[in-house]
Amino acid sequence: MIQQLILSGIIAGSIYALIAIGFTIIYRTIKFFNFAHGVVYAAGAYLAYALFFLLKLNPILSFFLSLAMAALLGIAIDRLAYRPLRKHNAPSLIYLIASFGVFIFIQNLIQLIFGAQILTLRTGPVKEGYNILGAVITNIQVLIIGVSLILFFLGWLFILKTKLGKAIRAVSDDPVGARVVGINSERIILVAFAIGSALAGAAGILISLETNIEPTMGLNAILKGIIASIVGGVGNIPGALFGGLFLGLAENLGIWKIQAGWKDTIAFVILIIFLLLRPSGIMGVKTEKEKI
Amino acid sequence: MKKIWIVITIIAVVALAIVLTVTQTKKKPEEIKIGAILPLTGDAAPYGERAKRGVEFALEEINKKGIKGNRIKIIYEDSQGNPQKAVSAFLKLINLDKVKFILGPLSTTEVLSIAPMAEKEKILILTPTASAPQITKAGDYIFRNCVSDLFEGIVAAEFIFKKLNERRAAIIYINNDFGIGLKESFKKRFISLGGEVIEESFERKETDFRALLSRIKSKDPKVIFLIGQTEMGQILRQAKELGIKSQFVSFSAFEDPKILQVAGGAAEGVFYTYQGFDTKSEVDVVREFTLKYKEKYNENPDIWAALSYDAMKIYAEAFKRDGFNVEDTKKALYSIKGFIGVVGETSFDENGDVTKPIGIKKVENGNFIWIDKKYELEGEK
Repeated sequence: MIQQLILSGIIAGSIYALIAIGFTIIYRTIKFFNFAHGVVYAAGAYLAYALFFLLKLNPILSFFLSLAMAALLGIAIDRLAYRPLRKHNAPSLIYLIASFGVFIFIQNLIQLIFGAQILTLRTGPVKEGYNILGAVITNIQVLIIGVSLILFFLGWLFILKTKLGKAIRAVSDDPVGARVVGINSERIILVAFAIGSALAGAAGILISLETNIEPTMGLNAILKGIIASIVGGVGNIPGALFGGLFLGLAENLGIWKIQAGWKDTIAFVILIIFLLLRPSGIMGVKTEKEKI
Repeated sequence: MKKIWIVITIIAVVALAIVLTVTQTKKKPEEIKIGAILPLTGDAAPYGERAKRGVEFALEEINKKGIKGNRIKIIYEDSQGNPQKAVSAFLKLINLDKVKFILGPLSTTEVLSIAPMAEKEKILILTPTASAPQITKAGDYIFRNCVSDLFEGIVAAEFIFKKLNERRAAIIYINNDFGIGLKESFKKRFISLGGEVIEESFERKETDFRALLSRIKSKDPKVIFLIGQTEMGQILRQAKELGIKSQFVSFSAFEDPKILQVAGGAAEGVFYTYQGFDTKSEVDVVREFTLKYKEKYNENPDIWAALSYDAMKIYAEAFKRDGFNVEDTKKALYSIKGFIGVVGETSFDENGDVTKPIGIKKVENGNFIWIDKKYELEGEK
């Protein structure tokens, strides 16, 4: 049983990590908890559903088109909701409230368009998975782990190696200094939103291959993503991967001996422990700052 | 000058509105108001939507004839399936709309959250679907139009023990009032028959059941009694992927095409207890209801629509018997016996509970098939 629980933990963890990295990239440029990130995750799944089932596009094309549309959604959220606030130099609490507003608005919009009922992205009959080292794994699960880790590392490489990635780091560490050397921070914020939102959309689509989609799926996802970020260290990218996997494994291994209903409790207990004992997370954001 | 015009327009609009409302109320002096508290948005919205359709169908038929020349008006309030929202919907209905009769809410938790207030304010509640045993003792003014889980749990336990001849069963249940109620009644009967149970619970919004199922799998039960809502499809799918071969047994809520679709073939062979609503029935009322429903919504009515339709009809029947004040209607509801609804024959007992036939069904080739239309418990009626 332990093998199965570890596997479940890795699957859940790689999705959490993918949500957390997108969240982190956006967080680094705007410095507030963008709750609307969760609804972009849900929107990604619904976009894929619409493209694949309603427009009957090919699955891979649907996947990438949904990512592009999730990126556009992220940009639109920033342009319409946060940028006007930035112009007025709003305090950070206002951003947080605005991000909740965006979350609720888009969630209800999804519900209006697609209805509140559960939809399924996966088609075809259900098959028993393969047995590897005492754990059962299905093709879809291999795909989920593989694609989410690949996307995670692509996101990481983007931040580390590309010019835009460096610019994002610059804006994150010293917004004024970045402007002095000629970095257009508004543009960088848009790039961060586009990349981060595409990654959230990807996470939403991947998880929907395994479970179902429903309009309210975003809240739990963003909460877990945020817990993963805090555990790993807010704003830290390797921390997001570590935090995601840590959370996924802890949740699943935690219920080895107690009832499965306690899963969410475990996640939130971890959050509280970290907030109390190590608010900067395992790989605190300070080390990252010093490096640059 | 402009300002004057704005003021004049506002006055004109307000005056018009007053005239309209006054003439409206004059036209229909005897309108019986019923407040319907349903989950119209949120997770439980699919159920609320179907319940609303059932209510609308019944209302149309009732108002066509009228009850002693009076019409019923329904005021819908959205509870989102949430007890707090149900309470505010209830307060709005009784204080603002002066409603004396409530139809709904659908879930046990919601009904239990408004029941004490309804008792105090003497407001009648008739819930179409809340099935947990706790409702039986919820109060004098609280009625329901579905069989208590006590009976479904007992039938399931008897069926597993006597017909499937299994002695070890696992229970997977949703952790809320309804899930616990059904689990307890099943467990009590199964153990008293001489069986053994293990249990696992999950929370309402859970989508990942692999860990729970791994725990179940390691204990290798022959039968699993499954209590949940639409997530049951998800559970079956993940169980199959994990290679769990146990026989699943469920209850009325299992008959939902959504569950089959989500389960993607993993629902084959599942048994479930079912309150007697059968779209293929030859009984006139059922045939007519099914036909009209299908015409309008392009899908077969399900138990949620059917029980809500019957609940609305039962209110109308009660109004017809004695009149429109709360005490008379309450008396009339208690006196209803052998009412022919689309969900079989319905009689109320002294607790405001109903008896209806319970049968056993099975999923075969993606269809819901009757195994036994009326499961007879031995030595009991």
